[in-house]
Amino acid sequence: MRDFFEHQAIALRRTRLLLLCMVLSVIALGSVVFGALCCVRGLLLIRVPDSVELPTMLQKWPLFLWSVGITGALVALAGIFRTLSLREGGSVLAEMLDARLVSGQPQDGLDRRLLNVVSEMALAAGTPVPQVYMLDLEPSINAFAAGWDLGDSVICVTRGCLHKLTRSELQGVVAHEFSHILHGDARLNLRLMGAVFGMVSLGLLGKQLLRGSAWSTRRDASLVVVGGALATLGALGGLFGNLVKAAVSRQREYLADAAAVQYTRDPEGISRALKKIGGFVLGARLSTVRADEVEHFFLEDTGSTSSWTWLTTHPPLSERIRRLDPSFDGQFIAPAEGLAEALGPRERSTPPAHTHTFTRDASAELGDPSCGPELATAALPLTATAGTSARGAIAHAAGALPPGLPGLGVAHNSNGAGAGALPLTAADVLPMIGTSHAEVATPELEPVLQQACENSFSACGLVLALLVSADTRVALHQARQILVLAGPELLAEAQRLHPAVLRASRLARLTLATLAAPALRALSPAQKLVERRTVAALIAEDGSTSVFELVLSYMLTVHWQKRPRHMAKRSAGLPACHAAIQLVLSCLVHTGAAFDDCAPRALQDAAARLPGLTLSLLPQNPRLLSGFITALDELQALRPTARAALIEACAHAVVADGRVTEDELTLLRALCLALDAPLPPLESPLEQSSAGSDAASRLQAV
Amino acid sequence: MYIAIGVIASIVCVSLLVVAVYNGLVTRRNRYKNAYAQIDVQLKRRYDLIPNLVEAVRGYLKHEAGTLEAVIQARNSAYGAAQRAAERAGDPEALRSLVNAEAALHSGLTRILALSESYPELKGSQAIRDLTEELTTTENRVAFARQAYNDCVTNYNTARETFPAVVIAGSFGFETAGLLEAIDHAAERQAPRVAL
Repeated sequence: MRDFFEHQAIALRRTRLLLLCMVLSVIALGSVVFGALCCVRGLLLIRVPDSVELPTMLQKWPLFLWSVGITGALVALAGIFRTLSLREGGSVLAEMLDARLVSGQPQDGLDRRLLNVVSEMALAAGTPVPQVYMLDLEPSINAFAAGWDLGDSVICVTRGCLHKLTRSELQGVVAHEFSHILHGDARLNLRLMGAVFGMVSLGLLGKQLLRGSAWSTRRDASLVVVGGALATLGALGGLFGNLVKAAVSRQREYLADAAAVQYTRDPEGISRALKKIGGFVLGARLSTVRADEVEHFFLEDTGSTSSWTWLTTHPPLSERIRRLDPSFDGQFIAPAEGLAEALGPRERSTPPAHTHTFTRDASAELGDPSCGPELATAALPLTATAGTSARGAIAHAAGALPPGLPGLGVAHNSNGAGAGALPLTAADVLPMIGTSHAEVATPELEPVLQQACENSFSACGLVLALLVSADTRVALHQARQILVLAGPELLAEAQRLHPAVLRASRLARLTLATLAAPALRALSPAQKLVERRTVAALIAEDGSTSVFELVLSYMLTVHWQKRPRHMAKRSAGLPACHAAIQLVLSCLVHTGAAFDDCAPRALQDAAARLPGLTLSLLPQNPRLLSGFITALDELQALRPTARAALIEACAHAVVADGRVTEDELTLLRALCLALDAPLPPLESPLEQSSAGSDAASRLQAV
Repeated sequence: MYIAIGVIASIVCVSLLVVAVYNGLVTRRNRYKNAYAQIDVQLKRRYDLIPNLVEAVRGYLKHEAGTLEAVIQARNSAYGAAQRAAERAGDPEALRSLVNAEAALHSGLTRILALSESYPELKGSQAIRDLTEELTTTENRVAFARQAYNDCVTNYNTARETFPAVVIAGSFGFETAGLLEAIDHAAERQAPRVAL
């Protein structure tokens, strides 16, 4: 886990490098403007003794300062403008490039494959599933990821990726993009894009004006002159902009390639994909002109900018492949004509409905190609293998786990832990954070619930069903609330899904919330508001707030709110968030404490890992839990190394009393989500006693 | 001298503003196009369900062949209208013809379902009940997606008509997008039940 936060810290340091580069560029650009103005004024005589020139120019230093000042002001203004326009997150970028949102119920088998790959990776890593976009009009092989944090990230691939790459190569590409999100690169790239907008956009505008594509009506000479002047200034600006981009973001690609190998446990996937890009006649080139601004986000050079080595935004392709595959001899792979890999049984597009939609059972869906429509309609059955690779399936079947993973999960808990707690130590939990374990047990989900996650309407109903209590009396009141606030259709949908939700385990319910993320993000702002109000009303209805409900509603707000916070700098140290840290730790040690005196000792244990802070235990009271959620927002200001220390301390606090309860794990998951450090799902044998722990963990709301 | 600098600076400012506004309009337009695609997915699913429903009831409603044929016809023309609307997402003309085609389809479907009330064997058939339930769910989804689409279109139209954008919208080819009126009538057929 240390590694993971170090990557984020490095990305943060690059932001400072970015600032430095911007200042230098502005000075350089200002000097060029100054020189041009001097030429105009005729201050630079054509034939003059050398001794005269320099003093003349130096005398004009007010003009120099003015040039640099105004250039700087324009660039800064443009930068702020652009960054603000990006505050809604990665989807703005995808929409700017005319990408198509891949809906949760794709008709096309290739779309379904893409969605499956992305959600498998997200589940294995424990992050919310990002929205997935497609560039239909681009036949080349390329992809990008953008977003400020886990809650608003998107992944976009080109049509060529789906047609020309096999499933494992596609996994490599998606894993590469995921690592950009997890390491803070996507965030850095968004800042970069905002900062150089002032310089790069002039070049873009000039190009478009000269091309005449924008001006369909009149075309007078004055416009062409203006266009020409802008284009010249812009070309220069673009040059500097690309220099900055190259300096800041080029090296990150090697890191992302290495992370892709780590996440998929497969060195072949990403390297073969890169080889195919090299061997494909179209390569990774994009035809849209707007790709200029976002080139640094992509997997490989889009060909929009020049190909001089020190201006490119990506390292040389051959070098990247060589680092992944030392035996590379320069031979690229030419992708075949037509589809690279035929569609699997799970990916064939949904046929017309048949009459037994609701009587299908999960055991029928295990890759038997002779089953007709029933099989193809089945959504991904999420078993412990997560369908990633044959190796994973064999490992799971043999009961062997990857080295270093503790014996987790009901399915393969070989050391026979009793129905009390998980046999976990902090050393077991910590390495799980920020990594992606495709073979970790993910909960079984019924098809009707999986299908509900694919579509905005059903996802809303699912969320409401998750919050409706099992107690019929309370449920009746909650149903009335839903009817009043959200309407009869959503009530009917929630009622349809409620029985399946009750049958699902607690862990499965939280997993559903992450799976439903993209569908929920596709709601319009008015619909999100209605859903938020209904959720709040449901939680308030039963008079007490359980840990599960609170964390679930927090996970939902992570996806929904337009939080200017997520763009804020992350530079605070631990002492700056002292109150929040104290609250979070107190809440954690009180939850699931076996005996009364466990709590202070656990706090001591945690405090030992946070040097420089004096922490006192807050007394247990009802407000602690709601305070936990507010504190999570404050903790977002922490810098990456401080986040690492805090998560470590919290993990120790949770295991200090010798047992790890469901609630403690749930709270830890919320903390990790808030700090952009995903925690994969950890199965627990506590499901049988969930009713008991539910009662014990409820705090009466004031 | 400084006048010249001032002029150049303001030209640059205006250009940056134009770029920013243009990007904003492009983003909003794609947002409503994506929102329309969500409606289209559900509509297509509904059109796939209808022939199954018609086949399932054909055995019971032997002397209502005319009604059944009318429904199939309405379904086919609605399919065509939806196809055209999908190709030109946001075009008010295409949307209007979709609404009309859907209205015809709706009356046909209502007739069939009303008939099923008077044929107890029809009501008793599990298969038909499943199909109608799935049809209702799909229609709910259409309604929901339609709400989101209309919100996005309103957002786009407002942005297009407010001050900085209205100046350049015409020359850059940004047309007003059309709202989608009600094409789903599931609410009329569904009585809300509060009991569980």
